[in-house]
Amino acid sequence: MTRTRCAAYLIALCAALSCGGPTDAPPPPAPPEPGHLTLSLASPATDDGAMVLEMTGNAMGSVAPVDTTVFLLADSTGGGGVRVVLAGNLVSGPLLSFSVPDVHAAYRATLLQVGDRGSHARADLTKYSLTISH
Amino acid sequence: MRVSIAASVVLSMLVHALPAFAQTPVEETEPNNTPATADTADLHRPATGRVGTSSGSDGFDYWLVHLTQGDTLQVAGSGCETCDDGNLYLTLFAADGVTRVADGRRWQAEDPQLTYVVPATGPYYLRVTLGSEALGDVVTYTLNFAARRCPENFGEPNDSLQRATPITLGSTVDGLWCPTGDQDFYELRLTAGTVFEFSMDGYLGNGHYYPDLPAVHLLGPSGENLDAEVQNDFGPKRYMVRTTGTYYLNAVSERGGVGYSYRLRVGESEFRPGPGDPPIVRAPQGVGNMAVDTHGNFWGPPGNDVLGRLSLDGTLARFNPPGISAAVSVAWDPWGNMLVLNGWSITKFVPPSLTEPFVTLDMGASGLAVTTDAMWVVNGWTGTTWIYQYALDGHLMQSFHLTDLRAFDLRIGPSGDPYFAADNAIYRFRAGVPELVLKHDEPSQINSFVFDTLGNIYVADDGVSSRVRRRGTPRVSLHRFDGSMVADTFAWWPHNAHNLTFGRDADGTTNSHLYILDQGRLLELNHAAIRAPGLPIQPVGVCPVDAAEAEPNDAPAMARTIGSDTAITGFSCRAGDLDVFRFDATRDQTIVFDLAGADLPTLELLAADGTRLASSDARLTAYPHISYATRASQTYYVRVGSWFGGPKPYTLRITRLPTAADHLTLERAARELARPGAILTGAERQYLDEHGNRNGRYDVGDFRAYYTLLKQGGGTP
Repeated sequence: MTRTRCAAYLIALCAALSCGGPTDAPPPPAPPEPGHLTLSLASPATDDGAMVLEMTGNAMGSVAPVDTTVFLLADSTGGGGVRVVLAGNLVSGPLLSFSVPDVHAAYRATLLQVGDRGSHARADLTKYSLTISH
Repeated sequence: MRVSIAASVVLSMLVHALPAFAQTPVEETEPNNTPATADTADLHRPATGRVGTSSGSDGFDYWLVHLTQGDTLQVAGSGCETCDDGNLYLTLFAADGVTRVADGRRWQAEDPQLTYVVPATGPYYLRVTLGSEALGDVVTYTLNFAARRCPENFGEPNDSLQRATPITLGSTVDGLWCPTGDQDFYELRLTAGTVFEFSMDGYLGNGHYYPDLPAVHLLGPSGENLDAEVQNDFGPKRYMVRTTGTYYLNAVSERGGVGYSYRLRVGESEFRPGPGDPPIVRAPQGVGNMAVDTHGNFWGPPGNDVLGRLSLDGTLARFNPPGISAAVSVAWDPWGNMLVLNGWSITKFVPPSLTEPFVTLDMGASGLAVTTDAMWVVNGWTGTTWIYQYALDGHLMQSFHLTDLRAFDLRIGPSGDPYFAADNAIYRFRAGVPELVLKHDEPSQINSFVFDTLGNIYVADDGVSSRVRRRGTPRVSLHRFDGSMVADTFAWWPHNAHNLTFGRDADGTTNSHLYILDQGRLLELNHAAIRAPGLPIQPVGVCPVDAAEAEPNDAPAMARTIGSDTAITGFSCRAGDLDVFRFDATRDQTIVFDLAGADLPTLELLAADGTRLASSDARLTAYPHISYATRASQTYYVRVGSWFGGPKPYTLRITRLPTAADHLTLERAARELARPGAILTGAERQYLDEHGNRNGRYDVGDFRAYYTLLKQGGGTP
């Protein structure tokens, strides 16, 4: 957390606790903080070769793979979501990053399909997890 | 008219030249095919007629003769002296026309002589007929009422062991079989250990295969036949004398008469093998009109088959290719195509059965030879002899007529000019004119000849003449390029020298082994005396080169890689030349390989391990093509050839057939995963699944497989 963002947070907290404000009006919302979020993969396998996942959240912008050798296609679903298709040597760890207008906003990612590096589509994805982090 | 003839008259006619023969003959008047309708003969004049069965009704001629008791009737019938079936028969009947009293006997070859001592004065009927009852034989005959006589001074009578004519080693004896049925015996003293040699030639007989050729038998001291112990493979007959004693030679002939003479040679040392003799029997059977291919196999007509290929180990393969009914000669053009002179045409032939009509001739040809720029064809069978010069594409360039020459066995000499044999001579054909190169003293015909690389000429004379009936001595002689004699004979005498040819080594080079056909066998002649390898018989043409073809490319290891949607040009110039190209499939797709040009081009598709996957063999077409579903990442080889070689270019096109994958991209395939059912067509999804995990739907596994395919194919995922 940056120093500027910490100060703003303390001001907002002080206002909320009536520590000397001129009125009782609620404090103004914190201004959005645009930035990039990172989607990380935790995979039980070591030979993942392709994935389809869906990310939802507000106004996601450009999506890019962390490993630039990985093929990635992001396609808007029209409802604010984005479906991402990846192919390459996919391994656990940071998978992709995407720009958002507010890094504090809530974003969610769901794994839809996983294929190995041959042509097999995995049937069980329960041991996979995706994490979005700032 | 009643005619009688006195014995004194008959005797007078026997001794003298029979002035009556010069008289006008009595001609028959048809019908005379029964005693009742017989013509009356005048015994002082010849009688003539025609007898035969061409009409189906003139099988007999009857002549009435009036004879006097005690006289001797002599009737010399002259019809067809050399006919086997249409020979003349004479039969004498008594006055009743039924009682047979005398028959004629063969005297002058097949012509008969009838002799009859008349027991009672009266009319007799002389019947003339033919030996054959087949329709079609008609013979004009003459009856002379006199006896024939044989020439004297031939050691006669020597027709038995007891009356054998004594001869000695080293003798040359002139004998005569007269009349038909006569046989001659000679006796000589032989010492144990002697290799006795004897041969006979100079007799009448114009063929080699007639069963009635004259023969000479060796008999032992007791008259026992020793033929089984006589060696007769090559040269004169030879007999190793084991026991000293008197031996006999018995000269026999199926036919005899005036002119049926012969020459008998006996000796111990007259015939010596030359270096390299005796000839080596290479195969128990041969092929006629031999020509040797680049593998050293002999080609020619074997027996009743059209064409045969004989190897030196005696293996004979027989071919009866369509469109070839009578192979007269075989040659190869500069590109290695086999050309078969097929009577009235020249046909290209690829064993075992592929033929292509090439040149149609307007007469039956007797010889074919090819140079680097022309084909020469000669006719010597009938009519005016001509020589045609054709371009190698089969177009007539020039024609020449020869007068008084029957040209056979056409060969190309060291100068590049055609040479041919005509009777007992060899001519060089230069600037439209035949020039005499050599001529044998013997009239028998030169059957074949070959050149070596020094220009020496090896000449086979089969001892038979088309103009003279007397049999000569078969031989092979060696001449210098100017025709002068080097050796006669060059090799120990084959009995029936035919079809000389030099062999070829495995690389196609003409070698110094000289072969000949002799009595159906393939012999190698006198290798030690061959002066130089044979002059190459197959010209070598210049083949164009197309850089795009990247020769040499006749094996997968040398193949140039080609891609789809391209066209390659090249040449399949030498017969049997193959051009191989490599094709690496980047995706599963159907590829069409089509070929045009060359001379009946052929196309094959091979797997990486050389397995033939598809070919155009089944279709002889100018435009073969193969359509094949190639698999991604597989290597294929396309092999181009042609049934016939030549400087005609070909074009090979490799075309990719449109597929469901044509418009696929990785981006579209990926987006389909994001928007299922909205991006790809059903066919595209099916294609991806088909080439992915084949689970019936398009999923991320299929996508991954496609991604891998494009990466491996050099695409840009």
